[in-house]
Formats: sequence, C-alpha cells, structure tokens
Amino acid sequence: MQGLRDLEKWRKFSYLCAHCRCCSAADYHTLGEYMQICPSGTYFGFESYFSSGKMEVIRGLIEGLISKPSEKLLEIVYVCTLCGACEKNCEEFTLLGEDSGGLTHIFEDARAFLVESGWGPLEKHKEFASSIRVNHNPYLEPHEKRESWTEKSSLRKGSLVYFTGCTSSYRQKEVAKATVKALEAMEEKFVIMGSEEWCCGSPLLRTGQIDQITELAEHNVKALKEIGAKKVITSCAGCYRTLKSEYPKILGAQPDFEVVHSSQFFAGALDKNKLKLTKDVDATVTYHDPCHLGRHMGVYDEPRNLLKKIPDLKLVEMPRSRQNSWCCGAGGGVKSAFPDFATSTAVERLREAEAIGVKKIVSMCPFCKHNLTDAAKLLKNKFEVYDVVELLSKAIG
Amino acid sequence: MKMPEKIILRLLEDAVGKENVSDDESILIAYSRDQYWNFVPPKMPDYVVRPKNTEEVQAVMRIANRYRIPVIPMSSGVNVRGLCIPEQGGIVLELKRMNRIIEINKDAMTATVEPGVTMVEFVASARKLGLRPAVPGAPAVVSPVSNYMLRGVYHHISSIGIDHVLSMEIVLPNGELLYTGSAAFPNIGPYSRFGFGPDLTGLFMGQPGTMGVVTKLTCRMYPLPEAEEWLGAGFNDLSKAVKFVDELMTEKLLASCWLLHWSVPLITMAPSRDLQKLREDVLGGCEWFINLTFESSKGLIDYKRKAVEKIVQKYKPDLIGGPLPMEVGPIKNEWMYPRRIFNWFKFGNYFALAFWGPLTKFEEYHDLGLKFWKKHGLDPEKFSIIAAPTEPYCGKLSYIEMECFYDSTNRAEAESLTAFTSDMTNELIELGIYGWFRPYALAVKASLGKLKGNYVELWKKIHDIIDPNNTMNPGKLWPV
Repeated sequence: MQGLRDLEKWRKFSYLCAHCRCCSAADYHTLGEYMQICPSGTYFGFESYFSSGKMEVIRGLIEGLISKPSEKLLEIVYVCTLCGACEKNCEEFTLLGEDSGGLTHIFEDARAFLVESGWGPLEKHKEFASSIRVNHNPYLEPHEKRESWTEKSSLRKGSLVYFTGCTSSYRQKEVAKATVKALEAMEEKFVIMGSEEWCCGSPLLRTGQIDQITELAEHNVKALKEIGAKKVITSCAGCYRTLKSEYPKILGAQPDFEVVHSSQFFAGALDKNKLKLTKDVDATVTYHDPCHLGRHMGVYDEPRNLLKKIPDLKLVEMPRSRQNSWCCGAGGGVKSAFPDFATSTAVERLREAEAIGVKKIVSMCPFCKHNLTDAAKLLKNKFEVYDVVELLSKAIG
Repeated sequence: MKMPEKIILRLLEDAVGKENVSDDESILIAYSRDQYWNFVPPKMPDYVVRPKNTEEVQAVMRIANRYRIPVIPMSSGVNVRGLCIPEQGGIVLELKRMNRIIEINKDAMTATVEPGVTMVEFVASARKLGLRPAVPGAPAVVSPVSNYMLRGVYHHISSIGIDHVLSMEIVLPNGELLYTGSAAFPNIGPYSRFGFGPDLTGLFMGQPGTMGVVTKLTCRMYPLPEAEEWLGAGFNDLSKAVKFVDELMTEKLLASCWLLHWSVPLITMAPSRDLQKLREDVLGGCEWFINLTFESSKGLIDYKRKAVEKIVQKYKPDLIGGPLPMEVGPIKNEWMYPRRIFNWFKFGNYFALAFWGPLTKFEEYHDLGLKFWKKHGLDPEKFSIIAAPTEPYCGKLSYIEMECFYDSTNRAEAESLTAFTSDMTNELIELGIYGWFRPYALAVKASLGKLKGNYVELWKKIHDIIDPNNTMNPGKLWPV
C-alpha cells in the first residue's frame, strides 16, 4: 500500500506506548484537580479517540489489521485536533515521547498515509485543498479579495513583512486591521504581501494532503525574498509554525528571513519603548493559548506580557493554561469536517472561563478566535472573544 | 444459542444506545492489546460496549449470558498486564462512563465510587474534605474500583495495608444484582465489610473480572496527614539492608519503607537516562536504596525520627539522607501521589513479576531471580527487584517485584523474558511465596496444579456456580 513506508517508521513507537493513559489528563499536580485534556477522547469516549488508542489504530494500519476505510476509521484519524496536549505529557518522560519527536507528527503521518492510500482525506478537506490550489486560500474566496480588509495601499518592497494569513484576510479581518494599526503606531515601515501571499499550507499539512505543500512554500519564500523580507510577522499561530518550523524542512534550507509571531514582535516593541500604550482598557480577561503557538512552538509568555502591559486590564488564568491548555477545537482540519465537535470543544473552553468568572476570552490566533466566536454565538453571545492585538490596538488609542 | 452478529449488535445498541456500541475494527483494535503483548498476545473483541449505569450493565449481561458471549469488564482502561485482553473475543464492557463519586462520607470515613472514576478525581475530591483514599503507585488515571478489587500495593502508605474494600454492588453474569457487606441491608449505609454470614466481598475480590461486574464499591478513607517527610538510606550489604527494614517495620514508625535495587528509584524518578552517573551522584554508588516515609503531625514526626535515628545508628547505612531521588531534576512532584509515573517508560516497556512473600526471604528471591535472569541470557544490569513490606506485617508480609524496562520490539529479549517468567513462576512456588500479587494469567495458570488441598477445585466450583456459562473473561484463570 502506498504511504506505508512512511508510516512504518512509527511501528516501534506504537509498540512502546505503554497505555498508561497519563496523556489523557492535564497535569493534576499543577492544577490541583483532575481535568481532561484530550478533546476527541473526551467527546467520543472510545479508546481509539485517545492517543493511546490511536497508537493502536496506527499499528493496525501498519500491520494490515484494519482492512477497510470505515467511516469510524476516518473519524478517529481526522477528528483529532492535533493539539499536542497528549505529547506534552509524554515527550519528556518516555522512550516513545522522547525518541519519536512527538505524537503529533505520528498522527499527521497517519493522515498522509490515508491520503496516499486513497482512503482519505475527508470531503471537506478535499474541498479546501482544491480552493487552495485555485484561490490560494482554503475559504473558497477569490484570491483578488485577499487584500479587501484594507483600503490602504502598501509598500511592495521592504524588510518588515506582515504575512496576514488566510483567516485574518477573509474571516477575522479585525485582527489584521488591529495589527496594522499597531505597526503604524510604531511608525514602522512594513509590507503587506497582498496578492503575492498564498496560503501557508498549514491546513494541508494537518490533513495529510502534502502534494501541494512544496509549491506553496516555494512560492511564499520566493515572494518574500523578492520583497526583500528580513523579518516576517504572522498573526496566525498556524502560519507561524508552518513558516518558521516546517518550511525549512520542506525546502531543505533555512529561508533568509526571520519569522516572528505578532505576540513576540509587539512584546519586543513594548520592551524597547517603540510602542506606547496610553488608553485604559477596563476589562478582566483570560488568555487562551493557541496550540500552534504554545505547545507546538513554546510561545507562552509574550501574549501574557502584552496583556499585562495594557493599562487597567486584568488577566486571570484558567485552570488549564500554557502546556495544559484545553484546545479551542478548530485545528487539524476539524473545524471544516466536524463543526459540531469543534464548537462543542470551544464551548467547553468558554465554560472554563465562565467558571473563573470571566466573560472576555482572548487568544492570539485568528483561527482560535473564529471558533471561540462561533461557540460564543451558540451561548447567545454571553462571551466576548478577542485577539490580543485587538486589545493592544484599543490601548494605543 | 447462536445469533447472527448483526442481531447481537442491535440488542446491545438497544441496551446502551447506538453511540455506545461498536463492532468497527478501528474501535476494537484499541482494546486488543496492552503493553504486556509479549506475554498476552493481542486479540480483538467482537464488540466494545460502554454502559452508563448499573441497569445498562445488567441488560448487557443478560444478552451475553443468553447468547453465551464472553464479557471482559474494563474500568478506566489502564491495563498493563493483559488482564482485559479478550482472549476469546466477545464484549469488552468499558465502564468509563460510570464515573460518579457517589459519596465521600467524612463521618463514616468511607467513599462509594463507580468503576469509571479515576484515582486522581477521587484524591482531588477527598482532599477537599481533609481525607484521602489509598493511592497505589500506578498511573493516576487508574480506577480505584479495579485497583482495590484486585488488592494493590500502596507504596507510600503501606502502613494502611492492602485491603480497603468495605462493600460492593455487583452485577452477576446472569444480570442479577448482588450487594455485599452492609450494602445488602436496607435502611443503612454500605459502610461495613461484614453484614451477615461469610465475607462475600472478599469472595469477589482478587478476580480478573471472572465472577461479575463491580458497579459500585465502598471503601475506607483516611485522614490527610499534617506533614510528610522522607529519609533515604543506602546499603551495599543486602543482608544488612533487609534487617534494617525489618526492624523499622517491626517498630511501626513509618508510613512506608521500601527496599529498592538502586536502579528502580533512578529509573522511575530521576530525569536522565545516565543511570550509572545518577547512581554515583544521588546514591553514593550504593547497591540498595531504602526510602523511609514519615507521616503524622510535625511533632510526632520529630519523635519518630529520633526513634528511627537509633535504628540508623545500629545498622550504620553507607548513605543516609539526601539528595533523594525524588528531589533530583525538574520532576519533584513525581513523588506526590497520585503519581504521574514520569519516567516509568523512559527505558521502554515495563516487565514485572510480582508476588507476596516474607521480607526475610528477599535475599533468596533476589539470588534466584538473578540466577535465572542470567540463565536466560538477560542483561544482569537490567535486573531490578524491590520489596515493599506492608501492614499487617504479620509473617513479614512484603510485596516483592522483579522488574525491568525493555524494548518490547526486541523479539529475542521478549522471548527470554517469557522463558524467565515461566521458570520463575515454578521456581518461586518451590522456594515459597505467600501468593501472586494479581491473578496474572501466566502465573496463575502455572500455579493451578501446585496448590495444596482443594484450593483450586473449590475456587473453580464457586466460579462455575456463579458463572455457569463461563462468559466472564474466559480463559484468564482456567483453560477454556
């Protein structure tokens, strides 16, 4: 079967999983209580939806014990948000976790295997892959509208580039606007890529549809090079991970530019007094760690530092935060293929905020904001959802 | 009566709801194997069924009994010794949805829980009331119901003994209900082990899901100690180490007192794979490490420490005091119970042969184990053994475990471990043990013909009365 060779490398690790199931719970010594941490396992219940069970499913695929692409199989493999909560309980402590380089990679390879074998991906995933090919974005939106969130014309050459990302360009435009406002407040010269910006490819990587990825990476890197990029800022945690961590692997070389997340960029600007926050933002908020930014890339402090510097704003932590964070439910192609589950997972997150008496939840990823906002609508808008940069821009005045 | 599989599936769906039953191979495969797969080969069940309450368990059991379908009860799903592998196929009855802590009664010092409750939930809830349950040295997501029902070893508080069960609600193989102890009496709580007549609670314990499904269990609770302190001691002379531990246990000064081969605390608690360096740095190169746990009020601990000091002076350990393995590196909270079992699987899969025996035979167990370890070509550097002497310390009762961590994909090593297990099972019975720690298939089957008198025959007869159609986890105790 095609793709089996790539999956075969994980055979040993499927055997090393001891099924201790510690990956199913947040670190209770830190929290002082028991809280689930695997969204798909918690929602669907059967063992196959937890990491320990998925390792058995992967063994079944490698050894031919799973003989047909049942609806359940596809659900099990694709309903995982790839949030990486499980691997944080495993990676530093077990032979499986240490030597495999993380469970998320294994689960992504399982998806690539299903695609190569013709069993996957899901229809919705094919749909957005097709849109990325045609429109360079997964939202079935025309490419010409990528820049419609801004009326300003941007420089076309420069060393500082704002890689807006598809979600901020088409679905969460206020994040892009707030980012630009903050950049302008710094009096920085920066470039918006506009039509030269294509989808980073993160949705394809997460769903195992890797055939287009090299083309996307090559295009974006070439475009950035031509612009003269030395530093690339992303709003989206997924873009950040893909550009910073995955493009060098895909292309076999480190691009000539530095990739920073907007949280890192603005935290640095505040530290150097390049950005002044003059307006009070009278609010109590809690911060939701995006999985791509926190667990996958280790950026936990900068968004919090930004929030702490906003005058009059009070930050309260939810029990599950940082590497124990509960995923918003959108990632890994889940939002498109399993919208009810995605929203239910986000509702759980809002309920967690509510339990600490907070109705304003802030994240640092437009895709998290997108999903949490959908959940807030379901709860009749009792909650307000923001990106950190939106609050930052309010404080700029 | 043989029914088409699709009809069985429909009956099970009627019993617990369609979304809680599956016969899909991508669901079944996750229940086919645990990390003991070299010793208990993988086998898929035919169905996985997830009941929510006692009534649904009863409905499933009636279906299984009527159509002679094997049922393998499984609680939280942490299953490291093959006890829940469906050797004959059938239904894995996964009880995770039955996850209510029904009561924690501070006055009665008891709690009643369902099988899907995890130890960590239980501990967190009890702590709010100033109580704690017996917590095993196991992943914190284990089920207290399964653990207590099989009797465990509670390393850090072995002073509270091995049996914490008071009463149970059990669904019998024919779907009928049994209440044991005072749970059988109306108008009163399930707080007493002994209701009337024989100890039916005890009869159903120590069984690998072969006599029914425990749907509620009432257990003892214990007060949270005001303070907890540790002291480490290292010895190179095993004989002296055993005598030291024996005297400490006899004086009843400690919450627990483990005797560990040097590698065990470093593998399970320390953050590095460089064990020999850690051995030098942490244990002063000693061969044997003893962990002494004090629990009480601060004043009482001071008193106990003075008494222990006299015993220390008498035996003069090669190392006394810290740094203790649990204080090394970034994982200090590993010692907090319930443990996260950090590092347990740092060296691969976990192999263990565990039994009860007198502490005073520990050297003999060690020598015998090492002899057969070498005989089967296993690396002597990997051979570990521990003793956790336990209350009641009558007969010098101690949990003994021979163990190692290994790469289970190394077939040669796995086969050597299998041969070692087989040999040791027989050799240990010849040398003398009190019993196996748990009803592990490999050990129990090998022992059946060796026990004196009518032990096995009577056990089998009792089983056959309760489960005449042999539907409960068949093959785990007696050959099918």
